[in-house]
Amino acid sequence: MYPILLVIAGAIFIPGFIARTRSISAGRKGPGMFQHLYNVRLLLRKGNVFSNTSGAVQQVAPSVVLASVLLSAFFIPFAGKPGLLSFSYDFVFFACILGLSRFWMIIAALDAGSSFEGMGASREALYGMLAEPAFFLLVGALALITGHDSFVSIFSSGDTFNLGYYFAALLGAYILFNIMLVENSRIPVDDPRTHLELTMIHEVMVLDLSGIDLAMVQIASFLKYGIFSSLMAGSIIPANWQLPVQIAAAFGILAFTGIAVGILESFKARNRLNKNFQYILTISAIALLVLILALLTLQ
Amino acid sequence: METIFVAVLFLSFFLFVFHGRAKYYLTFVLFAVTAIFAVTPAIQVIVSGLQVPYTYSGSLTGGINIVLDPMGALFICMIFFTMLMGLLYAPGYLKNDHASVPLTTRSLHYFSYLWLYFAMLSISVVREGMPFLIAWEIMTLSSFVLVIYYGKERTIIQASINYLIQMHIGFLFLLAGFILVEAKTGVPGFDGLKVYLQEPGGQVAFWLFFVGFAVKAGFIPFHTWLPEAHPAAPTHVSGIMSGIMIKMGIFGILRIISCMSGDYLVPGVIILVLAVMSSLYGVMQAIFQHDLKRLLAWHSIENIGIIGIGIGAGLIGLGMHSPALAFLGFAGGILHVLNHSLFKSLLFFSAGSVYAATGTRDINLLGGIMKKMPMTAGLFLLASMAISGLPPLNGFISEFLIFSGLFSGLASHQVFYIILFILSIAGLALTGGLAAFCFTKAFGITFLGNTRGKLLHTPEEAPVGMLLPQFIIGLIIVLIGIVPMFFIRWIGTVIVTSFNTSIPVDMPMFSGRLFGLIGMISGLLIILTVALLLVRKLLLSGRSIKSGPTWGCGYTAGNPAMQYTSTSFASDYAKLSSPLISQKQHYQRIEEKDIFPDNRTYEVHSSDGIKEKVIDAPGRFITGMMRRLAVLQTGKMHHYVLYALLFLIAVLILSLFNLL
Repeated sequence: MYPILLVIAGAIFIPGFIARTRSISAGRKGPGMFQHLYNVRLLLRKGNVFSNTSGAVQQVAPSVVLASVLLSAFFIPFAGKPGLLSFSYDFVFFACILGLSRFWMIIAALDAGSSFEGMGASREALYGMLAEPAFFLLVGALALITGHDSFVSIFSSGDTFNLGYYFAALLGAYILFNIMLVENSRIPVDDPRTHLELTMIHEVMVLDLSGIDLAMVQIASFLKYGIFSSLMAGSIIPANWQLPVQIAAAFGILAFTGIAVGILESFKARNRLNKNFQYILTISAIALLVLILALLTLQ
Repeated sequence: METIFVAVLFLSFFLFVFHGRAKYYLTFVLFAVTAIFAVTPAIQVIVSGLQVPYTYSGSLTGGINIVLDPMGALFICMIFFTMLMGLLYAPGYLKNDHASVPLTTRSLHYFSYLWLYFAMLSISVVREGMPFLIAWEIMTLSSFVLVIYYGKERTIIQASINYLIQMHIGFLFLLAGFILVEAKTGVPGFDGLKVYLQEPGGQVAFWLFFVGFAVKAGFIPFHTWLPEAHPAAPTHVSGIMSGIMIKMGIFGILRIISCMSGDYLVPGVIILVLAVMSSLYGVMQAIFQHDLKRLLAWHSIENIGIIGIGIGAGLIGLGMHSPALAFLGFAGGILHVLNHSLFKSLLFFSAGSVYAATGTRDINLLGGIMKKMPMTAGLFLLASMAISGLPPLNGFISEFLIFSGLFSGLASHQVFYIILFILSIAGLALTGGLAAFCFTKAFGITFLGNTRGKLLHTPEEAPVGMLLPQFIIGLIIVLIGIVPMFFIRWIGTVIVTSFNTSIPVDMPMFSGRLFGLIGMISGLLIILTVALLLVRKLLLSGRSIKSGPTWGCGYTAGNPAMQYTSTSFASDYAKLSSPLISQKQHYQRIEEKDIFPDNRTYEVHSSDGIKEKVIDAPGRFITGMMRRLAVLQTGKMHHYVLYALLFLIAVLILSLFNLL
């Protein structure tokens, strides 16, 4: 049961860590740890304003997005325990279900008939498409090293202390971190704080969402932090450690993820948009590196 | 039974006699009668898994060996279903041009439709070369007649002739294959191929057949007819051509694979590589298209590629004696044949409804259609999700099978194959991402936002007759997504009987439990979504719900022409893919002196580099040669008499020296 709790903990704490880190490093007082939750609560209490142009798609999309991200959270294993849903090649299902949420995000943005949202949708579709092979290459490499075929069996086979696996897992965590940045549109791919719509990706897609709909999309985005950082935790933490140690380590990684994103956002500027291709393709290239490593350990 | 088939063939000529609705009803009755006698045994064969041999002894033809095996039976079911849906859809679509199309053309249309159906049914069961080739040729000719229905336009005639010629090049390869096999073994048809492939050096015939079938299926580099012919045809014809007719190429490839008894690895690798390239190239081209039907046509090439990845992986699995890989590969490939026949015909049908309602296929002019045609839009969306391989629909199930097969192949401990599989996995993942990109574009630009151009008439929802077949297809798309285990079990029967493999029962994957679970999770996804929608509705009840103009980021004079179009949606992608696919722009630059520029147009087209190199360049070469030879054709009678005289003298001299 507790793998899903880890995801939820990530969803609750990571955005707070990001905000706090950014405030502290900028020397501001800044919002508190749980400000994002208060914001969501506020949104959930509001009514709805929608565009005259938009129709059923924009009304339905937030629910589909949240449902698919929630379902993908059920796949996350932890400490040798499978997630609520676990079967052979479950990572394919996991990736496709995140693809479903992206699909609906994009068409929801196109539904408003706004040139800005069309722009965001185009970018989101392109970056999502480019990030897809990276995940599959990574999982393929990890499956190759361990000889297993599901999230839980891949992650729990790290207990035979294998240097090859460990190195691959570290690189894998790095890749997952970067995929998370792309999925959640953070710096350096996108700057969520920008006030110029021309340079936005994710923020511009939700311009015409409000109230509960916006809240659902935001909850989905918080959950994605939890999902990817839990995956990172799963791949790095050796499964033969004591359970309390593993849990502590997992929370350490959640905190680290938040702080790392915060530091990155404090000290790094957003990429020029046409550099983003290279950035995302680099993730796939690193995944290829993991693959080569896997082939080497095979010999 | 034989008399009934002969009677049906004979009665089909009466289509030219009947008028009005009676013509359609006669087509329908003949279709249904054939279906009863073809589909009933087919279903029995799939359920029982047994072959039914049969000898047809017509007085004219002599004995023809007919074998109804599970694979043929599966294809018969698919042919029947897709063509039935097309037939249901057709009258509504053809109604719009009652005045402009002569009655004979319409008779010929339904006549060819029936004969295409008969030809494909025959292809599924005959084993011998000659009857097979005749059926294959009837399939080509009848589909040619179907494509050329609106034959007044120059582009349509060009596309149809192009189709006809390329099909006959494919036909030549098949003919050569059959002749080679029969000459070497003395046994006609596919049974002869079986004997021939057991001998060393049997690969030649395999590749002859493969090329012949690949032209029909549309693997690159044999695909060039496809993006031309599909947009030219009336929509229900595009639907059945893309849905099932090109799959006869896949059927042929599966048939020759079932004749193999060893040496699986090399063909497997080649097919896998070709298929990955086809799927990537198809979808990469598709993104550039703004003609809705051409976009769908390019996606057919992509999906043929995905099917090919499954088949290639299956072949490698046979070669490596890995039942898991073989089963998963073939099952994914064959299930994808079924899936593609469903969602692609649905996409074509709903795109056809849009065309019928708006008079244009250019998605840059469309937009906002969903409000006018909600049913059509919903069905198009459903099929778009299915073709992008997203749960909880059928496209995901077949792609999941292929992914699982490729992942299970990683355990092979042979570096070459591991690299091959990993790259295929990445290619398939990229294809899925690109397909999602393309269909968010196709759906979003066509149906959402505001209408961009001026339409001929305000679109209205398609009539019930056109919607009904689409709803039936949509239902099956969802069914395969939610209860995949039944469909996989039937396909399992086909695989076990057709290929030299068994279902690896020792793996937990095949107990049906896994696919039961996957279906359940897909169901859970739907339930979760509905639950969230209900919660949302509950929370919103009693609160203020307002609507206003779309937020223009401070700009208040926005108009529909400022929305993202198909071209601008793909512009970032176009930059990225420019090394592989170039775009040609046609526009007049605004010069410095143009203080008051007048109306201008801007057009972009992607160019198919493969077509230019494989078809256009040799075509130009041959035309050039012919032009040089045309010097001889002077148009003067005495020159021609001179040629005859010279010929006679040449024959005389040659025979004098005993050279003839």
